[in-house]
Amino acid sequence: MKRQGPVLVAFVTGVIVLAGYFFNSQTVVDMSTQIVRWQNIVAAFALALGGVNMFRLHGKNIIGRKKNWVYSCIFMVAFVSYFVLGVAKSTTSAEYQYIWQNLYQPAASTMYSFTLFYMTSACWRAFRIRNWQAAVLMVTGAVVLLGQVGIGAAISEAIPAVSAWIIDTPNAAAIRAITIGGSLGMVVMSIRVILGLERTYMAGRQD
Amino acid sequence: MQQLKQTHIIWIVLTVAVLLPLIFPLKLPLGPSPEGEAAYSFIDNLPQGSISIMVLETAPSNEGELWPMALAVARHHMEKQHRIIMATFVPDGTMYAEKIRALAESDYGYVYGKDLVILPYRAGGETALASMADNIRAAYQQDHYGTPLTDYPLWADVKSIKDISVISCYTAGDDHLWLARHVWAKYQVPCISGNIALSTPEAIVYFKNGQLVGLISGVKGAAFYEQKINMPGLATQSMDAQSIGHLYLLLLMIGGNIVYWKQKKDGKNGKQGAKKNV
Repeated sequence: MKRQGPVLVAFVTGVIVLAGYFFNSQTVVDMSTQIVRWQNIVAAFALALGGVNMFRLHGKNIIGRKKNWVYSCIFMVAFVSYFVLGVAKSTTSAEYQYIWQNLYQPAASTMYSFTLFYMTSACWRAFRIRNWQAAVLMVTGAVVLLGQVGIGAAISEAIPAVSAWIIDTPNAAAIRAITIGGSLGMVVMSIRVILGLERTYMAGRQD
Repeated sequence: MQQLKQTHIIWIVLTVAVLLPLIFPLKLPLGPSPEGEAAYSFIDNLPQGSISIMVLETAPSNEGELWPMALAVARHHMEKQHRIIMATFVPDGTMYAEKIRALAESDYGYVYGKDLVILPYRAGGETALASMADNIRAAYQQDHYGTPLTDYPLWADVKSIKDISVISCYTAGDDHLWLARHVWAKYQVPCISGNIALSTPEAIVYFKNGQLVGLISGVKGAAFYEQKINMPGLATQSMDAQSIGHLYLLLLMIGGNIVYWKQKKDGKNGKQGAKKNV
């Protein structure tokens, strides 16, 4: 039952959601919509589970005085205080929003902005033209890079035009091929899950 | 140590190259954006009172690209006196929705509940959007503040997703695909996608296929939209900096290759030396 239960759930829900997409029966559509809504509830639980896991992980770090446990303390203080504030005064309260806008938002934006510096130094070291394929890649990348910003048009009107052609024609053809190929794979995988042939989602084992 | 110094020089030059155009704008041309033009035209032609949904998948990590375009589109809706419903499937999205609400109330005299509503965050990503599309009234019973949506006059005009004139999303993910799959394919509700520039090569296919009525791509798309509504803002300001930044990246790539080829030619280090340098 431990194995048959999830397979049965996957089969029933999969068939109903699939039928809801293709058949015009109100009953089936309603059932399908309801199942999709349940998935959202499950997703919300997964989010809570993620929070609990973070709490446990950093709790263990602090108790065991593991490497960088001080950072875990900072995480705990931030996590607990912001969580309590959100629950006690609601996430729409002025205090909650003040912290988000003046602490989290600038800190998070700054952190992500740092990636630009690493990308820049990677441009100097990593983009090496070792063969003709790399040369094609670099020339294409350069044209698209300049075509996406004003300086491309300032250098030559042809740059944004060629950039647009690269994106619209060879790129679109490749993306369509990849998307269709990936979608076919997803359809096959979904059928395997619905029929119970694919069980790796249960415990990471096929049998 | 020498490598570290070289990296520091690259970073310092980058900082200067990006800061200077912010202080002294170059006013470089933007170039065409047919997909941005299509988005603008579609919204511009919607009648007064139309209801639009803005899906704000914005977060601090991508707000540099997504927030200016969301703000520009929101302003355009407000100029045209469209009613706006804001939804989000990322936790930070409601914070940006609050900012748009503040702007709508202060600059355009919008009344919350009548002209604008913020829906609460929903976990689930694609399935949350699918729920919204399939039965919006079942998917949401309360707004972001916990008030029953039935208390608002705006909600009375939303019986199903087909009552929505346009859905636009501002995303660093696959929302353009979700919109095409769950909103356009099933209900033929027009969709516009605002993407980070990185996602454009994929998203543009959906625009070309007609599954999106418009596409706003990265800072350039946002700047284009700001200029279309005659309200230059964050994106227009940062376009010159991005231009110089891109040029600098290109120069670094060329410079790196010159050094690489020179080393190879000199035969000092050969293949091993070049690898070591990488």
